[in-house]
Amino acid sequence: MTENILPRHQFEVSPENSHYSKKIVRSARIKETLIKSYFAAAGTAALIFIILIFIFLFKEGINAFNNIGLSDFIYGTRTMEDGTVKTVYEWYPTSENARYSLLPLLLGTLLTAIPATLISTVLGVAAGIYLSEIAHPKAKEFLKPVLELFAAIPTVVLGFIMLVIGATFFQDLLHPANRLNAFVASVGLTLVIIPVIASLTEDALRSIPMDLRNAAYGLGATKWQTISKVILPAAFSGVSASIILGFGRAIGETMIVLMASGNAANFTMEIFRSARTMTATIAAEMGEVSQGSDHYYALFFIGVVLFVITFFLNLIAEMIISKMRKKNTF
Amino acid sequence: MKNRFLRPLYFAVVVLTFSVVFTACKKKQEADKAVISVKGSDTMVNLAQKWAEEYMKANPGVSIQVTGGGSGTGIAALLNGTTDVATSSRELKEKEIKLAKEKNVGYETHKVALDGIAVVVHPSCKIDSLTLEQVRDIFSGKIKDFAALGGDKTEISLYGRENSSGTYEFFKEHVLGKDTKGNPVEYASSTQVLQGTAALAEAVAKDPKGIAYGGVGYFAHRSDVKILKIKKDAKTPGVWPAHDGKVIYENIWEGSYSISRGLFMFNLAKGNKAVDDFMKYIESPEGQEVVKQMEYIPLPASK
Repeated sequence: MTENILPRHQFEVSPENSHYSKKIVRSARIKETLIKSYFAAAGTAALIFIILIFIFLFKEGINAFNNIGLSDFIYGTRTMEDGTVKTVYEWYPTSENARYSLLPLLLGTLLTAIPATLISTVLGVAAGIYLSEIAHPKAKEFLKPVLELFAAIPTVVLGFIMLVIGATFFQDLLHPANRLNAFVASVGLTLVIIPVIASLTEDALRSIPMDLRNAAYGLGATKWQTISKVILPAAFSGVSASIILGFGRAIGETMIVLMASGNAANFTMEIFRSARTMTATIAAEMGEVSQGSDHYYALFFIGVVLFVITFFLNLIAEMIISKMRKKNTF
Repeated sequence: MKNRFLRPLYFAVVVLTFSVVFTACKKKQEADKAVISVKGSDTMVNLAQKWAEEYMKANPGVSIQVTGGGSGTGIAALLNGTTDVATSSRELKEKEIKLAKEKNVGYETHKVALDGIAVVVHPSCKIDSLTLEQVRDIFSGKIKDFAALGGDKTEISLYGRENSSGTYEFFKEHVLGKDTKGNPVEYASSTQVLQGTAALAEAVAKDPKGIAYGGVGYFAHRSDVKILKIKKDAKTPGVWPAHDGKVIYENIWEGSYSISRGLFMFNLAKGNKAVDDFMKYIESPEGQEVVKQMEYIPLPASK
């Protein structure tokens, strides 16, 4: 990044206007430096904030280990009424015999995020293909902003819709074990993730050079053959990055799951049962937990776990995307 | 073009200036008022707010600010001296009494109202009454099906409050209680946690398998949930906390309805006249009339 935008030698080789041009060059260079340092400062500020958040989160989260062991975050023990001691996977942070197993919460998170990602992958990738390859430019001009507008709906509104209308609809249709359950929440999540996956897929497909399509058509391939055999494989890494980012979004989403999942910390894989996610646990309990208690630090530890998960998902997606960029520079 | 842009700008500046000056004047006026801050129980926030409104209407020289945050928060604030009055849906814990002694804080306790905790189901549910033991077994997850209670054979869907709520604690202590070994009984882990009693009422109204608990005032006027009669044990008759849209005060005063609690207010015992007058108003017949309006249970008239 050492090269200057103003080509220095051009001015320096012409002696008749050297005096005048040096002045311009200098002032331009100062301006250039200022602008550069402004953007550098803005960039590093964002980085510093992230690092500070990271440090704060870890500092608070690590305190959880003062009184809670790592194994306590996985399982706990409970004395049953008949005197036997059982290993349990339960989240009872305010009980006299507090149990802090994160497994039901992790399971709840996966139970809402994975189905949501699967549904959104099918619909979102299809929408991305339509936008990039099939839609008439005029239709695309209209549809893409609409799709992006969809992503701008406050999630609390989507959560409310799922709570009031969605839950009743699926209750009458599927007769689930719980009216509010992981499935209802994951349908709510798809409304958030589809726009993410669709628009990133569209970007990935559009970055495939036109030559590939023309070559495929030239060989007599149909539109569907071109898409499925040429374009999609070429954009595979970009599309998979979009899915990973969508998954990360699903794991981090709070309001929809808080409202629509029922929030029972069940240790179960049944999708039609109520589930409680890590995000919803923090949101529901952080407000009134007494500061400095084990419960308080345990919530921060959940935050650390969430941060690590989403951080790595984003990192993987970012790596895939940058790899794709390198590959596609023809 | 320039004008068209600037006119709304001028307008905005004028409006802003006026509003700033106006609020500044108002602030100055309020400085002469006696200010009482009330903080604590979320259950009592609406009630305390209504008391404050009525009282301020009659006494324009007093300004009362009511905030929630939970019973524990309010009591902590009282002991730290950051609020004048604490509201609480439970009595002081021993820890708090000890802390008050340590800090040398003198306080007065006022029982200001009562609250009944109702157990509610969907109107289509065939069950009308439960014993306390059955309620305990339902919410601790021992009884999983309405068939065991004489209802249809469907799985029970439990609804409860978040673990920071005073109602959660009260219900756990007084209904779930302790098992034969003396260990506290826990809510079933399948209990669905919703934010606030109003949300519970809404959920049970829509869920034919649902059952929930909460302050009777939130359920009494609703025809889309069914309030259950509670029996102390299998032999005694079931008692309603509310029926036909009305809270039945006698059942709670006499204690024949089993799940009820006192609502308290604590203030510092340092003879703040404005606070004392407000507490007197709350215990007066007018103050207790407000309790009825807000669908809590007033203190028995004899007191």
